[in-house]
Amino acid sequence: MIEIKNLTKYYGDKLALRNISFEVREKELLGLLGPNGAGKSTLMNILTGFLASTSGSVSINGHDILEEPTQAKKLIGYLPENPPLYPDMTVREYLKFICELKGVPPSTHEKQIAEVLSLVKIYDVSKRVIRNLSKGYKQRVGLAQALIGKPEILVLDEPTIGLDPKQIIEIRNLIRTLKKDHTIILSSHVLAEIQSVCDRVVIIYDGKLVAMDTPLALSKKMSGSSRLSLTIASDSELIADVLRSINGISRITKLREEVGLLQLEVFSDPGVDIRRDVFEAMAGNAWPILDMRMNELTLEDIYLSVTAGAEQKGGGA
Amino acid sequence: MIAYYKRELFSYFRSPIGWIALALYAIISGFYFSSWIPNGGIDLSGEATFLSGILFMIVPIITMRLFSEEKRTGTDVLMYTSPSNLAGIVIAKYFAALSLFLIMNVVFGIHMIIVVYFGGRVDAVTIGSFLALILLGSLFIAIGTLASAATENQMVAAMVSFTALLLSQFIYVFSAQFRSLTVSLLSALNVFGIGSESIANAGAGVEKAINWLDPYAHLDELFIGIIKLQPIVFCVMADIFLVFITYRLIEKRRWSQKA
Repeated sequence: MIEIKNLTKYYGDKLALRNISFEVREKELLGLLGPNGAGKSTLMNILTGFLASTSGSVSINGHDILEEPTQAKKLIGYLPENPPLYPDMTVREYLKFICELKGVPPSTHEKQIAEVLSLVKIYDVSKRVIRNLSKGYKQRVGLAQALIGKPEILVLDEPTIGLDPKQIIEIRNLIRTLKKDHTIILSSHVLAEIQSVCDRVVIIYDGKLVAMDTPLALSKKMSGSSRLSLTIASDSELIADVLRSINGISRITKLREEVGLLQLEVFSDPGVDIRRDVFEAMAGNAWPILDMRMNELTLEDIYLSVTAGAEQKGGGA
Repeated sequence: MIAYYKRELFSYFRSPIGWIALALYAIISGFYFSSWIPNGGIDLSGEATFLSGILFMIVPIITMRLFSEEKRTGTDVLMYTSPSNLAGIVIAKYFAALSLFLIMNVVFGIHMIIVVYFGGRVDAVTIGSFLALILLGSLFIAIGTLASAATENQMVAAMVSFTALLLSQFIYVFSAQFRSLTVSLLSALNVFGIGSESIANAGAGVEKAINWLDPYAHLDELFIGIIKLQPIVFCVMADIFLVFITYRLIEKRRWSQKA
């Protein structure tokens, strides 16, 4: 569906993307993950034809984005980080303009606009001037313009940025609905978003592709160690020393410390279950355990681990 | 292309810009028109000449937002990522501005109707002057469009086009200066042993070359009612050239701009 080959982008002397290659399959929801400035938006802008790459190629259903831009762009609906809205137009006027811009047959304009308005739930504001809409509605109008023309591919750059929690849930549910009929590339620095909706994840760091797999496979790959959350009803300074003396504990992180309460995160070596030893050590010192939980690695752990690894390899970014 | 044309044209009337340009033009031309009434005769060709002299103030208002605003607000993403042809979008925006200018000139048509209604006549000088005004406007709009594409700040775009259009009225002064400069330089550095007649010819050549760029010089004959193809071809070709440069400038951003 989408084939990205050896994509490199320079801004003057600054390397923004280096030799990135991957493919996106049909009806797949691919998450692009990376810190701010990692190159996610640059990659999306190249994918959609907004920017040209310095070298490499992007092929959309066999159409090169630079050599056959019209055919390639017809297949893409793009929602950039800042929705490209004309504040002086009403929502309906704007979507009509987008229909004309995308070459939608005039006879189907009204039908398509009605479908999209209902899909992104902005029917009630369709006659309002965009300038007067809330941030959440503006984001939805941006999404509506991406959906006009029924493109097979949707490229969504940080679609939930700046929205309130209720709106975020609504947009995520909408993305899940859209997944049934579209191939979607979604960029975000919100890990929960990527984890909850994406089939595969591409992690970009400092312009490089540092990891690519399903969230589950990435989790398995990285799950050499396990993580134990521990809440102890004591603030003794000796707790950490006692824990360190237990075989198999690789790292201890203090999460919270209050008078008479300590919350820790204890990382263990691969394959070692430290719960029994921890319990005995705490009981032996009369430090009551209020809570002890074994946590699976989240995408956040994977992400931090991968980007830290990339940082070390690169000598620190 | 049609989508952008309609959007641009209607956007003039959704904001004060279109109305301000229309009102300014109507008031200024109306003022000139009415000032002739006490004299018992209306000089329509004089009105066209007068209006051509104030275009450098009006045109930047029309053109300043065309591309600079798209870049500033991020709506330029649509220009680059939609399946529409970028060259077509540039042409559409140019024609939208030109259409507003033509709408502004409806007031001149009304003045013609008034003159005819009261027994006056519209002669070749009036037609020629009006045609020259439209051609000059189309050329200035092309310059303003280019200025708007060169920056993302509409005030800068307005200032650049204002300065360029103002200076265009003094090309004949610059050409005379360059003629003197060329003659002085060649006389002072007469290393090739060039004769004084050749030096004078070289100076005249420089002056002629610079004067060739003067749109007013090309339109002089039209303003006096001599309708010829040459000034029309000059202005249309200059419009095409400037719109093409604008397109190249916009296209170049795809390679140079930051995400």
